[in-house]
Amino acid sequence: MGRQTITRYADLGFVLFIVMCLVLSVLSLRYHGRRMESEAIDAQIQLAELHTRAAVDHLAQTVSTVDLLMRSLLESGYAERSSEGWKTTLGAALINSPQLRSLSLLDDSGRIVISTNGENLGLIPTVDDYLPDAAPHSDLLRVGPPHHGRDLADGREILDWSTAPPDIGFVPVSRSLWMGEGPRLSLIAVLNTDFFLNRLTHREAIPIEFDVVRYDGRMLFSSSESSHAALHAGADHEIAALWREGLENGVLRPDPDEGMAIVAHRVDTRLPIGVITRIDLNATVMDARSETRSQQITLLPIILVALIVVLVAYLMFRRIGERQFRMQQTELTRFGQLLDTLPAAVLLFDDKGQLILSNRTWRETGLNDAQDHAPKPAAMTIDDLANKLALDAVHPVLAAAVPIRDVLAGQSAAFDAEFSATTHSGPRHFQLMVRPFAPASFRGVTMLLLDVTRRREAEQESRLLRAAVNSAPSGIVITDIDAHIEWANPAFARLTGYEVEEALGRRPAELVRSGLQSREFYKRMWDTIRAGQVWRGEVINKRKDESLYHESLTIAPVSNERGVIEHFVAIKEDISERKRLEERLIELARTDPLTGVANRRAFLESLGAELDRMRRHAHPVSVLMLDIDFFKQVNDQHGHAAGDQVLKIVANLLRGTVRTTDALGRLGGEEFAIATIEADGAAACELAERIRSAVETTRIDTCKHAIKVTISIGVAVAHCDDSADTVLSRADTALYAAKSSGRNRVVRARDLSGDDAARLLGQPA
Amino acid sequence: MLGTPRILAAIAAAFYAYFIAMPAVAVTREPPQDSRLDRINTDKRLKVCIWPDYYGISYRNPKSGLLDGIDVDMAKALGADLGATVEFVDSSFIRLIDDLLGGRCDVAMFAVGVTPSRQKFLRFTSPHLVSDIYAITTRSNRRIRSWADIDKTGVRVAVAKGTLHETVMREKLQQATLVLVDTPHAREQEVESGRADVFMTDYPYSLRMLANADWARLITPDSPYHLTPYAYALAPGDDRWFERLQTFVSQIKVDGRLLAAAERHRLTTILQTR
Repeated sequence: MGRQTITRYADLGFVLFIVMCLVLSVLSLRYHGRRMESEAIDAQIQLAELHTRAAVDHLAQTVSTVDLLMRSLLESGYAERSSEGWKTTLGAALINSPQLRSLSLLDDSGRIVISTNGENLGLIPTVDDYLPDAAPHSDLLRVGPPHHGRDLADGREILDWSTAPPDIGFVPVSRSLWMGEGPRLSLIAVLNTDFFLNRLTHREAIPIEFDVVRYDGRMLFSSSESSHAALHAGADHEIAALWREGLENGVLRPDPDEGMAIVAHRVDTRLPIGVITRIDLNATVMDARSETRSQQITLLPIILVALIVVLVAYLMFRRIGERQFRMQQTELTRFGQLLDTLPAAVLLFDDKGQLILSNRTWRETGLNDAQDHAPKPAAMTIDDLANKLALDAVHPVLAAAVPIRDVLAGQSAAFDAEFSATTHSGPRHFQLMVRPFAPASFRGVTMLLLDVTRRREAEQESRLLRAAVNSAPSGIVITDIDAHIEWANPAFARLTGYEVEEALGRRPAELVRSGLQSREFYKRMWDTIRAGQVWRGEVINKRKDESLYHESLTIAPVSNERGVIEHFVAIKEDISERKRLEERLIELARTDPLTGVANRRAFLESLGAELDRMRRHAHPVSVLMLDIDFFKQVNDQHGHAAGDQVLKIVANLLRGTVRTTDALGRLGGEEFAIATIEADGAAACELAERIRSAVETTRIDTCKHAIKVTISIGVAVAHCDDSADTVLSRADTALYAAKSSGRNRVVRARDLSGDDAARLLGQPA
Repeated sequence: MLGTPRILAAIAAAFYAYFIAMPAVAVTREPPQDSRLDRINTDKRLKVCIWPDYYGISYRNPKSGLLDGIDVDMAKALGADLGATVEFVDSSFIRLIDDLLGGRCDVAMFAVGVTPSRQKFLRFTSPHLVSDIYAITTRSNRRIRSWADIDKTGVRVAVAKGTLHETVMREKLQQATLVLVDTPHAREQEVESGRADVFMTDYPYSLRMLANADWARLITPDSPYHLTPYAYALAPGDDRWFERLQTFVSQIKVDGRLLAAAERHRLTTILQTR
């Protein structure tokens, strides 16, 4: 169900609520109105009943007083009172008796003989229809019919109430007294109906009418000023019929629509007079209705305004709510986008362990079910997740679900672990971080899954590299930019004699500098590596035990991503052995292997160098060419081993004879040469002679024989412009000459210019 | 509204004091004339005739026997001015002239209507009240609805003998029958019993009827019917006594005593302050 639908239902519900409120208000007002009408009617009827009772009491008391007055007047005046006395007595009786208009005395014949109103004298009133219909001698008070007029003199009996009521009227009452033989005396009192009306008429808001009715149903007078309809008279007769049946009082509840209607009636217990009360219940109802209406007029707008206020408030709240909802949605979207941009998978589980939120990275981990690509997470529990995780060695036996549920239950604050898992794209490594998430009323756990496969691979690679470097034969040193050692491998320790630990933080210069390299050498090195280039070279360094060694040194600068050099890596290789081998090879290349003296090439080089020196320093250089005589015969006679032995011994002899500064070499076969410096021709010849002599006298022992050999020597003195070849050539010529002239002799080469030769040799040519 | 008549009254009093009272003082220098004033000054007793049924004017409350009314208040004020004890003497409009001329009282202070018939025998001070004539009928009387219904054939109008109403109504009524009764109370009886339809009375008495008689209904004339000034009456002659009373009346009109009493007895509408 979408949010729109919910909002629409809420709106509909609220409108229904408002309508219901209105309907309820109207209904309750109507009910209240009905109640008010009913209560008003009840109150009016009760009031009317009270009025009726009071009216009957008043009537009865007043008429009884009149009755008493008349009785006492008759009884006291029957015998003794004269006509004059009667007149005075009757006049006095009227004082303070406003209920009486006149009192008249009737004689036996029914004629008025004495009256307070002189106009009544002589009248013979008709008393036939006075009530009760008693015998003429009865001593009861008898009530006459209603009359129009002020007094008996001008009075006319009212026979029909349907005409307009009289503007002045009266009701006569009579009482008689007859004592035995005497005359019968009667008194007629004219009752002032106004007296009663003045007291019965109430100034009530609701009109209330009284009919004073005789026991026979004849109306005596009424508070109503309107002409009485026949209906009223008929109703009065019906009530009087009830009285006569014994129902002497009662309360009625007529239909309010009837208008003026009887609500209460009562007849006196003794006198034949009763009161019938009418009320316009319709007016009562109208009154109540107008009251209800005014209440409605007051209340309904208030209720309406209140409901409108409620409606407006609802709309405002709804707008605010919608705005907040939109903001929350936006925030949620942003939050989701933010989560999606995270490189780590984020999962949120509720307190039941149910997944309720995940991000894109999670969906892309390949850990979840393949079809779960929607933003809304598929149903998954903590246990489902834990089953996919194979925890690594840190938690080898724990199932992941237990510690995660511990975090959820608040029993532990966090759970961190690494694990491997098989994903759609193969095995991967993940770092798992579990934290409780309990904002406000929510309780759950958040999980962060970070793919650390590459890190793990890098770590693996690093481990291998470290192993490789550690096991490398070359010393490897990493320094900072100022050449302080940061790291060194065991080979470094082996090479230098310093332990890695004691080398750290120190500079190689402090440890291994031998001082055999020049300052310029080091400057060039630093210039190269500071320029970011690799420097290669060989240096002679000094071990901790002060021994020197040759080192092949490669220094590579290591720059950071900005190209700034931060480290130097130096690879040191001990090349002392190789150096030795090289030197040995060089020596081997310059030495005659049989005799151990320089070979032809090496000798020629030495001779060239001596000739150069001769030209620079102007000291003499002489060259001796020596050749063992008849050496072929030695080989032939004694074998090559003997020959070699001869060559070795001769060479040793020569080596022992020449100065160390002189150069000795085997030019090939049995031929040797000597370059002697600072020796002129004579000195050279003398040297040659010493050699020839020594060889001649030396016995050479081979394994079988003792052999004697001689040697021929050619001597040549080097000229300024001589090359090695030219001077050797001249010496060779001299040797040839010595051979030719009989061997075992020394021949000095003659120069093209005898003078030169003589000068050089210090002899005359 | 009230200010202007009061100022005017003050000016009148000042004029009166200057032109009239001063010669009166001069008169006292003449050989002393036999005056009630001298006797009052000597005896310290002031005898005031009242009609004890005159509600609002001089009414003896039957429940307490105490006198109350505007003229009772004024009589007491006069007594205080004169330094004399006030003795109230019951009188009535019938006995009024006899009582005054017979010397039973020094002054009649019960709103005595100034009528020519009385002026023949009595001397009146300046009026302090003025009242029209009102009719009282019963609430249930169906003949009398308005003032115009009074003077109709068959209507009986009760008045008390000797009152100014007798004189006035005798002159005014054309159709209606005038019923003379002996006492003001009797005319109420006549009306209440229905033997008469209305009785004529004045403003203060009508107030009493409306307040005390549940059956009474007031009929007011549509236009001023017969305005009668009310004043204090004394025997003729005795100028000094008369002047003294005149001075008193002028003073109470000015100094607020009359107004205060009128307010207390709800008679301000008929107050004559000039």
